[in-house]
Amino acid sequence: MIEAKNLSKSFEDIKALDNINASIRDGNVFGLIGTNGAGKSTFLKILAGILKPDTGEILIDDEKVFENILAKEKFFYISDDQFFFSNTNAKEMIKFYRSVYRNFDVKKCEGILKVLDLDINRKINNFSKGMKKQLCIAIGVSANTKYLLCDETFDGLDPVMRQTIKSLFAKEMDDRGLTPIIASHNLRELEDICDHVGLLHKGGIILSKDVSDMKLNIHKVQCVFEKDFDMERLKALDIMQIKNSGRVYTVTIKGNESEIRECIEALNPVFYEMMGLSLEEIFISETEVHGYDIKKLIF
Amino acid sequence: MTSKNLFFKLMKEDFKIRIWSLAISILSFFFSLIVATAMLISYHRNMTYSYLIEETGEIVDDSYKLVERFNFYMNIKSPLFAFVFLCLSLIVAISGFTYLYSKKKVDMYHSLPVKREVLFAVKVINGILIVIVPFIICTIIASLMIAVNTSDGSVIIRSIGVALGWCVFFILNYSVVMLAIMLTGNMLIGILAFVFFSFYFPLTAFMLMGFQSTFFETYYYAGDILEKILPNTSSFVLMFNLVEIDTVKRIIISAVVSILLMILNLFLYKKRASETAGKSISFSIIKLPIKFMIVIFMSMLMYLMAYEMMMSSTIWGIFGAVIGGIITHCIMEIIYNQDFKKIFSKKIEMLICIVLALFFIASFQMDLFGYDRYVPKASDIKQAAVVSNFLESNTDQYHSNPKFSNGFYGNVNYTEDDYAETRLLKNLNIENKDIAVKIAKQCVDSINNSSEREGTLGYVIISYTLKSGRVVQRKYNYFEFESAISELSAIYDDPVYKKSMYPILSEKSENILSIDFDGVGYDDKHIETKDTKLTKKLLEAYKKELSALKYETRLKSYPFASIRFNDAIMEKELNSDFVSDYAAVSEKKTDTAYVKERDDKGYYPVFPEFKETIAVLKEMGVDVIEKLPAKDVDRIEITYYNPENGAGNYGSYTESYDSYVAQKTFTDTADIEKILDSLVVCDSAYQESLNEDDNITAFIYMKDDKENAYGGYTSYRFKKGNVPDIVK
Repeated sequence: MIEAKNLSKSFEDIKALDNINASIRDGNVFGLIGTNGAGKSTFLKILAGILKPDTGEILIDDEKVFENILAKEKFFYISDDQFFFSNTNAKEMIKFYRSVYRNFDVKKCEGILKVLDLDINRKINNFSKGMKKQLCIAIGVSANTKYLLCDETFDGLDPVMRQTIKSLFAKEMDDRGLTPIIASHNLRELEDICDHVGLLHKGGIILSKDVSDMKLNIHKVQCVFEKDFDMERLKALDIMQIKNSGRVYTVTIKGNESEIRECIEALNPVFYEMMGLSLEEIFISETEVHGYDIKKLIF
Repeated sequence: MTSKNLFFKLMKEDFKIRIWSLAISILSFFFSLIVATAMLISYHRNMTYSYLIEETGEIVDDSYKLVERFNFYMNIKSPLFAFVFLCLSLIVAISGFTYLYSKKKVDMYHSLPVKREVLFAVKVINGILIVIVPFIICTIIASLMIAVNTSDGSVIIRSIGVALGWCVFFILNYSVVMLAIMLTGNMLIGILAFVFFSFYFPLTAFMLMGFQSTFFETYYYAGDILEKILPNTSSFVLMFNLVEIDTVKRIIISAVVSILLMILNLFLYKKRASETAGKSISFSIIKLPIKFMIVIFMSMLMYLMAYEMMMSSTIWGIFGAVIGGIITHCIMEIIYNQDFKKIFSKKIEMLICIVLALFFIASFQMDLFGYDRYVPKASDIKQAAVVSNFLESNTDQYHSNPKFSNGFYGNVNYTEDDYAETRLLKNLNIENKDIAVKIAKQCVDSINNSSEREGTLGYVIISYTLKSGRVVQRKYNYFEFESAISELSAIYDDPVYKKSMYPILSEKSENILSIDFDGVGYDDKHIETKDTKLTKKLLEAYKKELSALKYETRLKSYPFASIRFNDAIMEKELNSDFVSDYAAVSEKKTDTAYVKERDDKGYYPVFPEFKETIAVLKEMGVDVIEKLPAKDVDRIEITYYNPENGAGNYGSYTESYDSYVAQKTFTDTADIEKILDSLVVCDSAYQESLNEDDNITAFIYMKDDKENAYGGYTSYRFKKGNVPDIVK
């Protein structure tokens, strides 16, 4: 488990992280969402032991990370622009990482690269941006660490490749309980992979929730009522948002699905339909409650 | 995985990354050692062949010359190797540590489960091995090549010894480049930081010495900090041996400093925040002091340059200081912020720098801290030395250090400059410190009273070693000699002073192999001391009479000859294949001829009062002529210098081309006799100038048939108060 306690970090007069508290459970995919400059990379770099926090601490399985080899052996960090030695190829990079990570699985790495159709002997300088990202993921997964820290890793990957990587993560999570922590500015990118999402804005976490909880507790209902329907009757529901077009109402409601159905049916609608919410819509609704305009934050 | 395994695996991986620097290192030493040695051997063979055919026609074993050439080439002071190691230290430090300048690289390295100490050690050790291993291998190969060609195996041991010395210098310079990298966040600024570490402190020392010599009248020695310590606080200076320092001392200092710097580098490496990659300076705390150091230095330097260029103009100096300070501050701000738009930021700091620089300048120019007026309390002095031509003007006769140097026309055997003064100031210890203080106070008074400056010739150097250990030395060029005669007598008559001044007083007769007597005319004697009893007698007599010689006697009397007691070193030099001048060396066209510059050193005075010495000399068969025979003199021309009154005072004498000079010629034998009675005639290496009357000079012209015996003519002077009436 990863725990951040009162974490703060400033760069000269810029406050990158401001008193952040967060916990990341093992076996989940944690998504860290935020705009550029929100502090995602800083958070990940502190988590990776690259940066030292000004105040507070970050613990991996109760171990402090900075300059602690025991903690550092538990993760592999993939930066948004990973460094590879000049004039080197994948094979050489694998050798390098094998010398550093004690559980590095060379065969697994070569297998993944084969699946990803990456030539192990080709100079990395000649790789495209997406290919470099794939190589990073292959090496990161093969390091067999408990946590995989990915900074904007899915950025630049085509949809097919993204699915492949997601399946790879899923397999690793099943096989050995890998916990990927993925930072991204693109919410849609994380929608179908994250179990838990934290929203960073201006150095602080605005929101941190399980995606399933959010999905189970927020519902969108499209319904049509009689002409003389008294809208006040809807107040019995925990409505987050309500929109209407003529007699057609689209209502976002917090609560259990069956309870919502029961309530709606009790209002004798002409028609109603429970609709699924995208993660984006859930975020919009949740952050609006907190007074933020999410569209301005991450879209 | 054990940490030991990890360390070696990382070393292996690091080698792969830095393979290019290894290639440069191997190439550098291949050419500078193996190829150069092959060229040296080839050159030696060609030269030997020509020499044998033209000069002797015989086969002579001169392989020692090849060894000498190789040893000279592979020298611990060789600028070529200093340059090679300087370049390589930059290359390996850059190849190892410039990842600290890239955020991308830092993110990768610092996220690895590797302790920073381990990463540091891997980078440092690999850097050292990349240079040292090829160097040692090439050195062994090169020295084996020489050994095979000369059958001299000792060259291998010597070369390895020299190579180890160079390794120490390399590690020192490598540590300094690393320090520059640790403190900075980008390559250009890193290189500037290395330039700063290489030159700032030596240049500051030279600049401050420049200020002292320009503005302090009594400047002689700037103190150990400025003269010895600061100039050597640079790996560049130590590597190139720019401020000469003993080699062993140089290596020990370099080794100790390297270790300290490595520890400091490790500390900084661990403390260095990853986010400083790409910034100008990685530790903000050093920004301000470094800026102040550089801006104040440049401001002061510009002042000195403008002041000197514009003929001691203070206005131009201030202009230089202000402009220099502003420009340097602007450049520093651009560098710090990496933004030209920040050129005029932090104006208050700029103002403070310039004001401080002007204050320091004023402290020199106006002598705010009383440098020229400084005289310590007698009770604070541990050791005091007074060296002056009012006490003894022939110090370099008694204290000379033979030095050999390889010149263009041949090798030169010369006496080191300032050796005598330096030695005396260090070793002389006047027992009565009050006298030294009293003389110093009189000298200071002479400075303050400018009207007394004219006509007071000579110098007084006073050195104090204070009880605190501080060494203070001052040189006074204006001194009222007449009013300090009693103090000068007290110093000269002190046996401690004499023992330090005259090494002959500590000499033993069994060390004396020959004696040189240099008297009037050309009839000098070189006496091989086969009769040891007579030698002992002469030496003892001389020591006794020299020890008893009073200052008062020297004011009136004058040595008519000089004597040299030659020990084994001097005898060897006299018998060496020396030639008299550079032209002779170039004619010989060999590299074994030495110019004899020490031929006229080591002579001691023989005063007419040294009756016992003169008697022993006569006993040894020396024709001692105490006075130039008047009958052999053709004429004496007296020249009068009277800057105050011109030639008018001398009435009827012929005016010369210079209105301040008048001349009179004496040809009458009786007049010549009278003049010679009073005249100081000493035609030898030893020259006495104490208490001479500077206004009158006599030129003695020998008769034509006696010229060969006595030489042409020479100028002589009278002692003050001893000018004969016919000359007055």
